[in-house]
Amino acid sequence: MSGLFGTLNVANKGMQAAQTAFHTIGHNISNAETEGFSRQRVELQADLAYTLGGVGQLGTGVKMIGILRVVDDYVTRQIRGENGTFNKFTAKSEVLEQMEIIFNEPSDTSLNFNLGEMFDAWTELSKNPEIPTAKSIVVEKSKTMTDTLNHIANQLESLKDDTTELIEMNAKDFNSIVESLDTLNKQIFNISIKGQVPNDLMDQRDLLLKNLSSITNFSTSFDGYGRVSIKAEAGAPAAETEVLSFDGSTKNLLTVNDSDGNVVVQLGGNELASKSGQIAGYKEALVEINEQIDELNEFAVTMAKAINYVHREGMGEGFENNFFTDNDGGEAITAANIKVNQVLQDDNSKVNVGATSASLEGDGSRALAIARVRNIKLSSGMTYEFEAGTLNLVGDPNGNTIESTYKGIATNIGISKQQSDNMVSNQEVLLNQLVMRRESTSGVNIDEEVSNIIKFQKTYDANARVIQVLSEMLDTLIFRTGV
Amino acid sequence: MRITNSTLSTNYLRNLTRNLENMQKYQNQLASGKEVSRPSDNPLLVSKIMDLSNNILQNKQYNTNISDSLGWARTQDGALNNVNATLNRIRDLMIYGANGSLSETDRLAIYDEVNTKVQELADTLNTNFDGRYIFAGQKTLSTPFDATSGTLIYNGSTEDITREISKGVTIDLLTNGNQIIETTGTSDGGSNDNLGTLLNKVLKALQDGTGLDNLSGDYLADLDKHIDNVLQVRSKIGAIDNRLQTAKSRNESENLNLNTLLSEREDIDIAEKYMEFSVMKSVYHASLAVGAQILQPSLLDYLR
Repeated sequence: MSGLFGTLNVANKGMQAAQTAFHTIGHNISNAETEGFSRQRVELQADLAYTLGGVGQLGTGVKMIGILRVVDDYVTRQIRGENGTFNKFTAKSEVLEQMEIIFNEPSDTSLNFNLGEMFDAWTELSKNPEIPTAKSIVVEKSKTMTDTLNHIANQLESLKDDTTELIEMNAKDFNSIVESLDTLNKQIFNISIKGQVPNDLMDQRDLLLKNLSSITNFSTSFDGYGRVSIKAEAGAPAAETEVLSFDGSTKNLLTVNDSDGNVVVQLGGNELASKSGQIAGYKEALVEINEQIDELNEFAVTMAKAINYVHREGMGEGFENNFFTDNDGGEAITAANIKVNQVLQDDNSKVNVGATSASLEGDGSRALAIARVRNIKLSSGMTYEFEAGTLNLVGDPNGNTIESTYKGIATNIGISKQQSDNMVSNQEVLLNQLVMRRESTSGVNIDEEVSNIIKFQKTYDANARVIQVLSEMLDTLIFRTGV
Repeated sequence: MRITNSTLSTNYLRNLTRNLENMQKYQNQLASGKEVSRPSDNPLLVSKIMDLSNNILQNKQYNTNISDSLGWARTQDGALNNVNATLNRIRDLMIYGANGSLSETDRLAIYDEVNTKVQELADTLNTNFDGRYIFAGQKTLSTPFDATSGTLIYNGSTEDITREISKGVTIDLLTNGNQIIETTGTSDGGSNDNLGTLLNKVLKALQDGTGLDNLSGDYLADLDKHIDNVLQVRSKIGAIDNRLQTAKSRNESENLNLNTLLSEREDIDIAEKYMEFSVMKSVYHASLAVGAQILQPSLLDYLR
């Protein structure tokens, strides 16, 4: 027989359980909008029964086993993977978008338009070889074109610098998150070793890991205490390198080196083989920027060589000026330094119009030949020569015209950007689905919590009523049974 | 699936943002009137648009080239028409002057008129178009014909002027003035192949009264050859004019085609776009209204 005090104890345990559940509900509600928070639940169980001789097992009330956090570790890991890919393409799209803005196509102020105007100016000059203004217009329109080209090249260079800086910032972020994880590992260990579960710390750990996956890809493993260790791939061929061990004794952080203007992110002395996350995205964008710069340089050189050749060749002593030069008047032309020969800028009359220096004032054949370069297919390795008896340049059938080369450069960015944008939107759908799944497991539903409040309120009230009745029974026993 | 409050609000916000993005896209298209504004919107389309704009600009340039050239050719034709009339007048005067019964005063009067006609020839051939002499070869800035000494002399160059009238197609404007006053097969082994020389001889005969029979004989035949030659040059110029006109109408229809193609690719169908925009707008309004409805209530609202 348990006695009245035993029953009092059962009711007391019930009230305590209800109160604890209440507390946890409050915790859930107050963290409903906390990022990375997983709802918690007080796990209840019937306490060990007591054998009542000849009657059977008599229950001894409720027992709280622990406070659990409701999570699906599989979904959490999937989110890390998809978040990495999502961030990679977001980062890439972001840089490519800026590149698109730099080229500013299609518009009436773009390089494409300037190129057309330059060639039109040459045609006008070929029609009006006698008029000095026609030469000035050629020089001015060509200057506008080279200015735009210089501007694009410079903008691309600074975009490259900005992107490099973003990679450096990401590496720093990575390092600081790894440091935080190390601290968190130690706190988790200190609590776990006492046999308790550090629910909120584990939520924080998962959140930090998710943030880390935005930066680069890595693999994780967890030990029995809930600590995490991280490995990332580095070197060629890529091999797993430990970034953080469980106890924090091994900690390899990212370093960023600049070699020949190319940024290299290193882990433990080897280059980080980043496949997803912002570092991978920015690195892919850097490759695209470099390609664009190379193509733009090749474009500038090919165009300058062809026009220079037609402008210069066969003019005769003293008139063999190049039309385009680099900044120092030489032939080391790039997109960033191409300019109209200073000699011609200073004296527009030195622009060659006729077949030779001895040509008459009405001879615009050379200007016409330059205007016709517009429709001639050029390539970077072509040999420059005139068609016999004319000033028309012999093209390379495998080459491309100046404008279509440029068009190719400008639309290639569009293609890469579109691809990247598509990846972003696909990845976004995937990631959102996973986040929804996580939310459906671990998220806090206020309605649910409120109905639990009511439930536990009733439990609490009922337990209190048991105590009240017990109290009346004790009252009867002690005061009414006269001694 | 278990739905939580933040599921609702994030989902709602995401869809709302997507609707807003679409609204922005339509607004952009409606405001600019263009289907695409960046290569990534549709790389292939942008590539075609850039191609077409290039072609249209180039075509416009060819059109001005053709119009200019047409101006030249017509001015040349007009000038040669006058030359022809003058030469015919000289021919008449020659026949008249060949009459042996003319008094010296009458003959000298004819001489004076022929002399004036020679000056007139030079003046006509020195016609200026757009600041340049039309029959001066490439020496376009200096007077090509000179008759001040009494003899018609050509000082220009013998090259023509080349113009590009469409991609890879050029046309030569006959600016070489020499071909107008040079012919072949004249009498006396071609000694009168030059109009200036011939006219000089005619003038001399009229002035001195010697060899007057030549005026109605060899000289007249030679002048006829020259008149034929001018007509030939004129018909060549006429052919050029013809070619230019054909090129012009081809250029214009090409221009129309190119612009139509560009417009089909680049421009939006305003009615259609506006419809799409209106649909989008109602979707957006609906989502706002629904959001206000579903995000508001919770169980708490009903617990009193």
